[in-house]
Amino acid sequence: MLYHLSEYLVQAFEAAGPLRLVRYNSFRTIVAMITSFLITLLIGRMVINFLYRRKIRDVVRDYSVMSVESKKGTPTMGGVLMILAISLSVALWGNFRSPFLYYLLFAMIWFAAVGGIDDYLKIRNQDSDAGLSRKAKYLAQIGYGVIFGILFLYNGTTPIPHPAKSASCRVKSWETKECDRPCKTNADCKQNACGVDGAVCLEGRCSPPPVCSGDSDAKSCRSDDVCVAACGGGAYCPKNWEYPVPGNKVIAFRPSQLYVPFYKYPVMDLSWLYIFVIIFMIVYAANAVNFADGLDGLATGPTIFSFLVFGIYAYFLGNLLIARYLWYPFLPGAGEAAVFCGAVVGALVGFLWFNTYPAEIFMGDTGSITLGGILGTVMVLLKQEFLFFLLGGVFLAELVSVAIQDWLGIQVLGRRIFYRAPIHHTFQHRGLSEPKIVVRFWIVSGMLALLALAALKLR
Amino acid sequence: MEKRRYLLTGGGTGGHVYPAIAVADELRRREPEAAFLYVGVKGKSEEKIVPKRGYEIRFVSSEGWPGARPSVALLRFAWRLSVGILQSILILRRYQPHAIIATGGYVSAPILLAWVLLRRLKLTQARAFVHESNLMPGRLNLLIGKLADRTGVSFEESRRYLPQAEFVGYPVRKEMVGITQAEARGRLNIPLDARVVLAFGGSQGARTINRALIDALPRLLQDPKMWVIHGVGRLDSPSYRAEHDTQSRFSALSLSEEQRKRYSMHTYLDPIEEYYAAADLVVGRGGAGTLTEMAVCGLAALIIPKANLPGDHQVRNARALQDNGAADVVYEHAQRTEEGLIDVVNGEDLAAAIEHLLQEPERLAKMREAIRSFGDVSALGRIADRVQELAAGRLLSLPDRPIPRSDGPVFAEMSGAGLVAHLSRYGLKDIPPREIEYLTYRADGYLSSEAWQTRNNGVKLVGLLQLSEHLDLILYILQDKTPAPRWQRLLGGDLRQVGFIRRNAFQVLRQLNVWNPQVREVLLAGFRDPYFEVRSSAAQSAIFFSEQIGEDPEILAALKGLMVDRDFEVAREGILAMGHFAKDPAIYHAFRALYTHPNWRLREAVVIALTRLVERAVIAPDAIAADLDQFLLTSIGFAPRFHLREKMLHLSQTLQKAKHALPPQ
Repeated sequence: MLYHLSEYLVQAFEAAGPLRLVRYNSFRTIVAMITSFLITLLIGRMVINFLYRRKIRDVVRDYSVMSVESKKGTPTMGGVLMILAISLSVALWGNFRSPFLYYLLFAMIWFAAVGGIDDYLKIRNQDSDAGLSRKAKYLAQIGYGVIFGILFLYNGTTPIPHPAKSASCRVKSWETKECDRPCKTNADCKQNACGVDGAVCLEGRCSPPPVCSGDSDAKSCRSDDVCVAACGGGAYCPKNWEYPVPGNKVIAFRPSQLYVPFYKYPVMDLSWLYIFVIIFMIVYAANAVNFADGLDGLATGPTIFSFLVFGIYAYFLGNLLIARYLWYPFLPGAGEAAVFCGAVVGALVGFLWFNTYPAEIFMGDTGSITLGGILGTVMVLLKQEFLFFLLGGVFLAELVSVAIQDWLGIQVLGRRIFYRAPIHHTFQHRGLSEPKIVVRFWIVSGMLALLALAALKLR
Repeated sequence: MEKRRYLLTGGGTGGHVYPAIAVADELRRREPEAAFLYVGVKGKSEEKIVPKRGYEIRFVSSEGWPGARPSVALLRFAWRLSVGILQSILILRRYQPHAIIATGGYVSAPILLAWVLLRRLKLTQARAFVHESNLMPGRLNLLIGKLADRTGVSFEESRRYLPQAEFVGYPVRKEMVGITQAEARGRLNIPLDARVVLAFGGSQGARTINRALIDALPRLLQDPKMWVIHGVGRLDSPSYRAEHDTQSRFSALSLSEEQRKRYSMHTYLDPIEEYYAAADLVVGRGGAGTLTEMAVCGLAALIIPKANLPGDHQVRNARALQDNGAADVVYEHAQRTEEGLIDVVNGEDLAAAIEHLLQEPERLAKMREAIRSFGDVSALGRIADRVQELAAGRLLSLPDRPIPRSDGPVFAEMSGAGLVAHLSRYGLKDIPPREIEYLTYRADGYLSSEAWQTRNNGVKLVGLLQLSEHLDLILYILQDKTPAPRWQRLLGGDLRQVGFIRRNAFQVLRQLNVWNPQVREVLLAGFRDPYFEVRSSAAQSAIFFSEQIGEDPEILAALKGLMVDRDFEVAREGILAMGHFAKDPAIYHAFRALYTHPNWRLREAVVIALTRLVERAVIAPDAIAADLDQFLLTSIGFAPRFHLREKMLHLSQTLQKAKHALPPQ
């Protein structure tokens, strides 16, 4: 809201000039982070008390025999706190013209509902096995994956630039000084917008006028030749879906292409089969975070690192200059995903304030499944799915250990393969204390986050 | 009036076909004009029985439910059933029956599902009557019973599962009754004063009964008045050829010519009512059909229910009779044979049970009397009434009858895992011996299962039920070194008796608390087991049996070896065990070597074991005290104590005490 307000003010009043700051993506990302952090801190205590009073926790039946070692009775469903903070912060700082935000909000609402129902059932029955059945959970996740996958791959709805959209000729505006005025039509830019007459409106932003001879043809193009012919030398037809790679090559970019970390070129184009990759990543991420949520702060730390790194990726990919410099496809609007990731990071840090050992609040499935679902959505939107196997190595270890232990060992072979699963329970079984395991997991995921950032340039 | 058309379906085994035929016979008697069509599956019992009775039969494709696990069988099931449903739709549309009479079994699935479909689409006028003959309704009838126009059950108790059903009884053919014992024996050339035992395992025959009876013969036929009639059954499959197997076993017996004369073997018992009438005692399976026939004829029965059937229905039928003193039950139990663990009945046991019963004429008479109340000759008429009412489109509403309830846990309804959970929670208290006998039978059934998950439950049940006489089986499981399939071994499996089973078997050894040389052998092998949990469970068992083990050098050496096991959990148990057993002060060096072990839980075990050694005065205190500073004492593992909770606990306890201390006001 603040973004749109400032936009209006800047346009309406000369005096509101300094508010132009709000338009900068980096600024909004950082402010969104701080905002959601402060919101969590401010309402955290209230939420904890509220959850406690509403008996959103394991109820201690008999105080005279309760254990003094267990944390039984700690309120759960702390995910609600994060969801509140994220929603508020994004509402304040987001640019709602970007489709990325809608995707992420959709993910948050869907998974919050799934996790919320699961938690609610568990609490109502005071039985951790009485939540949604495994099947129902997977179905909900797969259902989201299908919807999201179709939207993402289908031309008309994908937030990713696509050859089907034609563009207008433009001069290299990012090489000249950018004009500062947002616009809807060329008429908004006519009056001295860029210090010159006849500025045009390109992608919601005023640009210096291309030196075009004709006017009707100049508005839409499919190749540079048309623009050079119409507007003279230096004009080009922006092909957002194409991006340059070293060696004067250009890669046509499509949503269904498969990218892997440390490699510049798409590995292959999976076409509609890509939807299975999407479903897999969504289910994988949602469950991985869910399994990792076993010790105080264990899921929180690695999730913070993951969102930080994806936030940085989103900012870079949403910035034409940086994306071109790093040989990445430019994703217009992806900067808003960075704002969202920032809000999530802020909320998570604020949540950790209360959640760190010994926890005063657990996130519950409301938190873990939601965070996992958002994470899965972000990485698909940025086309960095496979980066998550590296970046979220901790999650990978958690999920693989569960898969091997439960599905192979206990169900099929009739033996344990690890002492316990998920893997953090093995460490507990070996005698490591809870805070030690948690901090070590943080350290590992921090290191992996550095590696993942290195993958930005190392390609 | 329009000529009525009836469609009959149900089958797979004779038990599902005969009731349908009985109802059809009755309807034909009442309405000689009516048309009948039987729908079955090719190659099943109905293919032979139905045409012989003069009814037209058509075939559809169908298959039994293979279980929900994804498998090829499940795909085949889906395919066959879909084809069957399409075939059934055609049959229903062409034949346009007034009423459908279904007696259960997967054979009736396509017709019933097609009927449900057409009914929804208002494409059929047919009414459906479903009859369930067993106490525990089959899967299909549980589903369809709710949709059919009327469901009839043979046991009042079945209404616990099908509340909307009506108790109608089991339809018995009319010819059943009316032959006297003298007539029957005259025809069969058996003296009137003979004691006649009739044994048979249904139309197919039963391996358990056939083999047990042959084994029992030498003892039974010693009694010069004993005559044995044996219905072998027509089963002739590669795994069991009933007649051939029985014949060869019988020839191998050493019996006199006179004794051989008093035994007669038949593939079929036809007409069965004649044999029933001649018999003093019947040994048979627990299917509803057989039981009702016995009941109608008022026979003393010794039932050997078939184990591991869907819903365990034979056992439950049999137990319903047993509860009312109407029959005796002998359970199959698991036994080690060259074919592995299979369900058998011991011949000696069977002979003893038969002799025991025949020696008590009063009890036999009482059983005959009691079983009659289960045989209701009016059932057939009642079912025919219902079907006619349905066909005519008028059906009286069901009288409101309370649904029978059971008091206490119904073990027969619990799954294997459910039984284990129940028994480990509530123990054996308040369980009557008769139930223990049943639970033992359940454990036996599980022990002989192919699926390790089921077998595992069997092992746990042996421990929970304290079945010392099963020690042999547990030892057999622990000695069974059959490897797992290759693909499982590649993924980390080892033996057919999987790790969990072996681990639990050691726990069972502790629960049974029996020590003998064989247990010792098994224990020694357990220390070398490839699976870590088995090794640590074996080490725990060693401490448990410490009195019996004493100073057994071989076991002590093995335990000492465990102290440096590559698996910390095992090493820990080994260290604790050595603290318990060691007699030689030199062991201290082995402990000392672990003073700086990286895993603190091993170091912890060392401290516990050393304490134990000093308490047992094996090591002089000075020796340890001198170099305690060599011990790597880090502050690593801890258990939290939350002070707020501690104080709250204190408050709450104080509150309770205060409450009790106060005089009542």
